[in-house]
Amino acid sequence: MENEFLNSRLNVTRRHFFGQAAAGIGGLALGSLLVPDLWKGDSAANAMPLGMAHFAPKAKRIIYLCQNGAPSQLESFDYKPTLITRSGEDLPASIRGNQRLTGMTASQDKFPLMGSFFGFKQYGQSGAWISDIFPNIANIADDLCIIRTMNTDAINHDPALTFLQTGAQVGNRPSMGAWMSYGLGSENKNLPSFCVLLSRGRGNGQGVYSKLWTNGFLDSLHQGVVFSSSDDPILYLNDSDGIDKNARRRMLDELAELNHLGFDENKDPEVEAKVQQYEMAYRMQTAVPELTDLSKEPDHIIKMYGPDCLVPGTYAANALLARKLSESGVRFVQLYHQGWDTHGNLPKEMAMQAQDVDRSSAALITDLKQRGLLDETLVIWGGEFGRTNYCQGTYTVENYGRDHHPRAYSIFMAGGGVKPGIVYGETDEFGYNVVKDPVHIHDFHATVQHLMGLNHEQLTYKHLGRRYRLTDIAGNVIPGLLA
Amino acid sequence: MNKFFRLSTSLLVFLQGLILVLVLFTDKIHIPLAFLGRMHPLVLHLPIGFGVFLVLIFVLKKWIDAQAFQEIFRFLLYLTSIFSAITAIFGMFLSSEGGYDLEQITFHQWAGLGVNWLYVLLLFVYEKGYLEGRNLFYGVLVGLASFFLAGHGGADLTHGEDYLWAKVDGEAVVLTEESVVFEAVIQPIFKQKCEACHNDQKTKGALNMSSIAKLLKGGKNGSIWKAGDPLNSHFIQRAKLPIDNKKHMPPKGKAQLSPDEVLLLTAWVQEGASVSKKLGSFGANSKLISLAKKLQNTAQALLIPVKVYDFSAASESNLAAANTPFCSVYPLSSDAPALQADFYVSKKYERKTLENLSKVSEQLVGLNLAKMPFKDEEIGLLTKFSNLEKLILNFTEITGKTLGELSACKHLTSLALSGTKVNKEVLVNLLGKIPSLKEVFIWNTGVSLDQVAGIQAQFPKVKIQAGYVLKDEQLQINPPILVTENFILKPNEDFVFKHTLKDVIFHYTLNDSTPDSLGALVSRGPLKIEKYSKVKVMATKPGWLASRVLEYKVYKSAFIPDSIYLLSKPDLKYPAKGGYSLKDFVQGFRETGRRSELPDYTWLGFFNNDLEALFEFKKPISPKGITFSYLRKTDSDVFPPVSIEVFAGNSPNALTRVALVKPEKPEKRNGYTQMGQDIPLKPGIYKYYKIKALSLRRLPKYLLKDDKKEEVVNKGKPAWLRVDEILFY
Repeated sequence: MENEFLNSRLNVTRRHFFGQAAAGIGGLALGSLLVPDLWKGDSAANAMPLGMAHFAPKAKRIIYLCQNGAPSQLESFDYKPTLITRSGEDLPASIRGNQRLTGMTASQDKFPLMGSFFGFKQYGQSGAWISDIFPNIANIADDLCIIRTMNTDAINHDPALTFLQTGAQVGNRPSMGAWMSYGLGSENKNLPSFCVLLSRGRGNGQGVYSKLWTNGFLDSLHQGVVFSSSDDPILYLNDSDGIDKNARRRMLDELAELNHLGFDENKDPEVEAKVQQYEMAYRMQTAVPELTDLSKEPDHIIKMYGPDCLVPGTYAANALLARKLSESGVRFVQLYHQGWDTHGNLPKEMAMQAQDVDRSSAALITDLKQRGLLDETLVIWGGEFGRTNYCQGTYTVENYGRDHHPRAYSIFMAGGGVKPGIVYGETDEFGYNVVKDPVHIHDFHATVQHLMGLNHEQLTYKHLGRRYRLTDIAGNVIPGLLA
Repeated sequence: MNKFFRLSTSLLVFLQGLILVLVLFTDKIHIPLAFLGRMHPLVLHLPIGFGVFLVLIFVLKKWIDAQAFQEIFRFLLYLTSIFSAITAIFGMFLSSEGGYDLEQITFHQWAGLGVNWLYVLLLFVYEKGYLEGRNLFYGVLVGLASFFLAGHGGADLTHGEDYLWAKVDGEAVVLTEESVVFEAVIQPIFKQKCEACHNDQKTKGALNMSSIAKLLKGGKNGSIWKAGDPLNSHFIQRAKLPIDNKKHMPPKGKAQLSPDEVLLLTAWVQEGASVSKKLGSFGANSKLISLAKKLQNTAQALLIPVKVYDFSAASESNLAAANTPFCSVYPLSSDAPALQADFYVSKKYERKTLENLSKVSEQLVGLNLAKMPFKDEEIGLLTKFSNLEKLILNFTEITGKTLGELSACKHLTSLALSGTKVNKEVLVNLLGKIPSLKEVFIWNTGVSLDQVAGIQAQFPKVKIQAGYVLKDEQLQINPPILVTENFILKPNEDFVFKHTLKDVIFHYTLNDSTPDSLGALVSRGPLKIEKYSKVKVMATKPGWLASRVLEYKVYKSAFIPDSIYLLSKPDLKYPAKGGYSLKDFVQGFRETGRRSELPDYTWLGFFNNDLEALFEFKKPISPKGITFSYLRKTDSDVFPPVSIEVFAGNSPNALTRVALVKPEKPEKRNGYTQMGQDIPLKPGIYKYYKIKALSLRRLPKYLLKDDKKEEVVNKGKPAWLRVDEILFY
């Protein structure tokens, strides 16, 4: 027994110990004069106060429409007529350079260039070229900031998506949403500050895993909360039969008391996090019914988002729910729509995927705008990498596939302080390499944090002996993207 | 205690001797004790602390007895003397490293020694009893003052002379054609990253970078660059060394050059290292100029204009008091006093909460009341918010007649009224009264699109956002959503659909024909199914295009047998749960991968054997027919029965044949299909039914032709008969 007690004392984490020591022993101030951060625990390591923007933010909230599986830039936002005129020709070695290939096309002896199956037209004042399968998104071109020069380090889905979401290809670093929750705190105390909505299209899909919305080494309070794709998006939220509000309240109070006893003994910060999560769930009981109630939405909202928005678990329904969550003060709403991995059968699959997301993605942006919320909400649309300009597998004009391509791909952002109505960056005539204004994933993260009023170099967390950031040791804010 | 003072006296004598030696033979001694020298900045804080305490102890004098005071005072005086001596000695070690301005270092050395000797003198006269009472206090006060004098000299040496008074942030220089590039972009880098150690006072490596002339002289190795040749330029080489290399500059631990700055310095040397050339005289292709401009543009674009508010921040307590679980009041950022307030959960809205915001009325710049039951009468509560800039009243209960009162909010620029009952008159009146408005949102209000154009013309400076306009576009409605989870319906079960839109009608057929909006069967929810059917269903609604057609195979039963006796034995591989499986209303699972190797509990399988089963009803029934559901997989070896015979009677021993059907023979290779065979019965009331289904004993030829491998394996082999349910309707 005595041994167990002593062991529990060892559970005091190192960070905790230093945190307390630093607060308690004023004499150590001398040491801190000489080595400025000698005694700083993780919380004190930030010169900036936590839970607040460092400087006036452009965006208060983010809705990230992650197109999981990597939509082809060549059939969406990066128009390359050269690929059409030179269809079937081999990709020049000078263009490919030393780019590594995936195991899926590495053994191909030819890399026949492939033009887009779909037509392109110019839209908006910037004259942005947008493919015919995205007619609704094309209509709001003047609200969009299209980036054609995104590039990443990874070439396969899992590491690339993990990199996109957490800033590192290995798992277990905090996700973008978790960093925002940690850095900015929650706006609405009755809802989690980071919510995740999943949907699946009809194309070839790739998995999504909880490591994409993990809190990593941050408090588990910052973890993304996944909503169910059923009629009841948050399961087990309602009190069971026979339990009334007062009984629930008493139960939580007593439980918290027990947990605090436990905390006093073992000093595990996760106990505190747990208590707070119970409280959050209790408050969610009042906030959520209003969120999921679609009866107050005007009729033409349904026409805007498309009728699928009433079918739980569809992308359109998630886009509508994302608007409602964001409107209710959720800092970061993360959507994933699976099915963009078009290694084969691209024309058919891409058209189906576009049909799933085009109307509702555009509707979301318009909807935020008409409520006066677009200027304070950043909407991001895009995948983890691009697709090759050459064909994977058998080459026919109607049916072809494209492999993974990390060097250049397109995404778009809207609202929240990005420059509207522009097309940023240029790729070469083959759509293979960036020729002007590259935006690396780290730069993208730095820019997004900047828009949220956070200095990406100052939002840090000390873990395993060093400080971590979303951008880790890289990343520059891209001024050309800022309004 | 006395032992301590004795020892201290000896130590002090020794230290003074050491000091004397060091002072007299400075030039002749080389001390390999750099490490002790580096401790100087650490140790120096000790005597200062003791010195301060020597003064402060006089404050305590009243409360402690005289004897204790004398002991403590003496103790502290000893410590101060000893540590000031040690500090001075370490200081001399440090100065021997060189690199300091001679004049300053000399001053600091003698000042430091002076401090030490002052305290030693104090100690001496105190011990001799020459000094007491008030004079003692003056003595230690003078000692403390001497610390500041010596300390200031030391600080100048470490941080540069103007460290204390220099401006904290340099201002960005604007680049023009007339700018001298060196002064505008290169020298600032030297200033920030190099001059701390290469200045008039501290010239490490004999290099002084504080002025152009001194810079051009170079260091102990001569000129630090070679114009046009960055690779052989000393300072570029040092900057590019790995950071752990001893010769890397700036030294590890000091502020480093950014990669962009290294590029810039390299380009400057490459392009001539001129200290006087103007921006205009560099060519159009100058890498130096494009880099400089890029860096400057980045810096300018990222310069966040700090909005200055002429009010001060709300107090912590007021901010806390304004917050409730359903109203968040929070600072927009840490560098400004501006606050935002958001209301959540409409049923928790209380006027009181809004009134409570008066505690932060001055600081509130943003307020979001969207969806709250906020009424016209309450607009008056908002007029207190004199600095309000953005107000969101979407989907509140206001009609707008009181909105004019908001003219009290002189800074209001953005007002969102979407989803309210606001109309044209209200809007025009409002825009007239509040000239500060720049943006108004009136989507989904009483203001029509035609009216917007007119109002917009009248108030050209205000952006009127009308939002999404319903286009005259017909959309395809989404298909019905299936509610029923099982495709095998029990006697009282219907096949039920729902739809998320209101007033949707389902059109369906049961005979494999395509439904249309005219001829087909119609329902608003449950579809009546009588027997095994192929259901095709779609949704329609006026104003929408008909939905996609969905297809299902639905099995229906009207009578459930009380007992089923299997008269023939199923194969060991597919025993299911015996006869019960024929009425368990569980559809046969589809086997995938390895599972197909395991016996399956949802299918009854017969191999080289026929199915024979007796169904008992305690009350006689008169069914219209029987549905025999089975599996067909003709690309493998699962085939329909050759024939199905039905016998009926009121005793198991007296049954007569009432039906014989031969399921359609498969003509092609087909994949996995669950099928139903309808067996109509003539009217008749019976208690017992026997069903005999003959399995196929020789696989047909076409199966063998396509696949050579299977030909060998299956040649002459029997086919599987796999049965799911037998349903009476």
